[in-house]
Amino acid sequence: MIVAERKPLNELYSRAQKHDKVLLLGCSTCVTVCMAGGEKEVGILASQITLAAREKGDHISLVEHTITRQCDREFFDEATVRKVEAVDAIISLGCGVGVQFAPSYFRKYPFIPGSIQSFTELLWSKAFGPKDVRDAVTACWMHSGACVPLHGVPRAC
Amino acid sequence: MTDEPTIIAFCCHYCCVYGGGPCRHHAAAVYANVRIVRLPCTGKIDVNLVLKAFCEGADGVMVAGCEIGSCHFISGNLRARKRVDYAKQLLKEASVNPDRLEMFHIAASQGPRFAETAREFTEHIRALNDKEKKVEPTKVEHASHSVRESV
Repeated sequence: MIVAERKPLNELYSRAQKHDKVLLLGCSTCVTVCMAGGEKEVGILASQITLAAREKGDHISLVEHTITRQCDREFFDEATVRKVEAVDAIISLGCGVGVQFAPSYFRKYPFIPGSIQSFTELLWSKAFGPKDVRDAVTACWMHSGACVPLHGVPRAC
Repeated sequence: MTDEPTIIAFCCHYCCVYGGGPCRHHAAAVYANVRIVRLPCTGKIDVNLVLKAFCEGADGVMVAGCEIGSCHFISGNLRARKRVDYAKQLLKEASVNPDRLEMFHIAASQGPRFAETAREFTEHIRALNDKEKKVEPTKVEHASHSVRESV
């Protein structure tokens, strides 16, 4: 079970404003159900960043895209690859598994985690295999700085 | 007319669209800058719809639904009220004055009241525009470059 919430706008905006063109990548499965990173939330975040950029006089070009699952390479189709290659950075609104799996697929591109979540253990083993869990979570912790160890196991961002 | 604020009014089909209709002949000046978007019920309103209106350059957004207790779909206007409150929080988070978004409850028989409300809201937004210097929306390319696709 995935329980997630979106990171605060200030945190995401401060990281997005360093790039000219940003892709907001949503996920249509678990984070859609808990209203943290589905197509609708991608639209909300895009509108918020647009309005904030207008108020602050920044220039950020945004592309919105939502795929069925970010934790399965089957769903990284040609359209997604084309969009990822066309931007400077990607804000992933997927869960901790998706935000780890997508950068492992698109290695050259900077990913920004857009959600805070917990309870990923079941999906970890499916996406990465059990032995990669700790490495992936550690990398995620270094990437976002928002993870907290839970019961001795690091929790994903 | 260039300094006139642009107001988007999301109106319920069962009350404000009918209420506002006859007033157009009497209050044409108000409707020059108030653009009515007809909804089957204000319960159809979505946070994305409201934010998108601001992104596309609206100065203010008003949501006009039935009076409490007389919604054609029982609770659509109450749902709309909650969504408007949520949208205000999101606007505040994005550094936009949440007073630029308001919800009103106006019955179908209150055409003059709708015109009066629209006029007052226009004045309110005009005052806010004078107070806060608006940056031109063309600086952000989101509106023209945004791609909404779902695989």
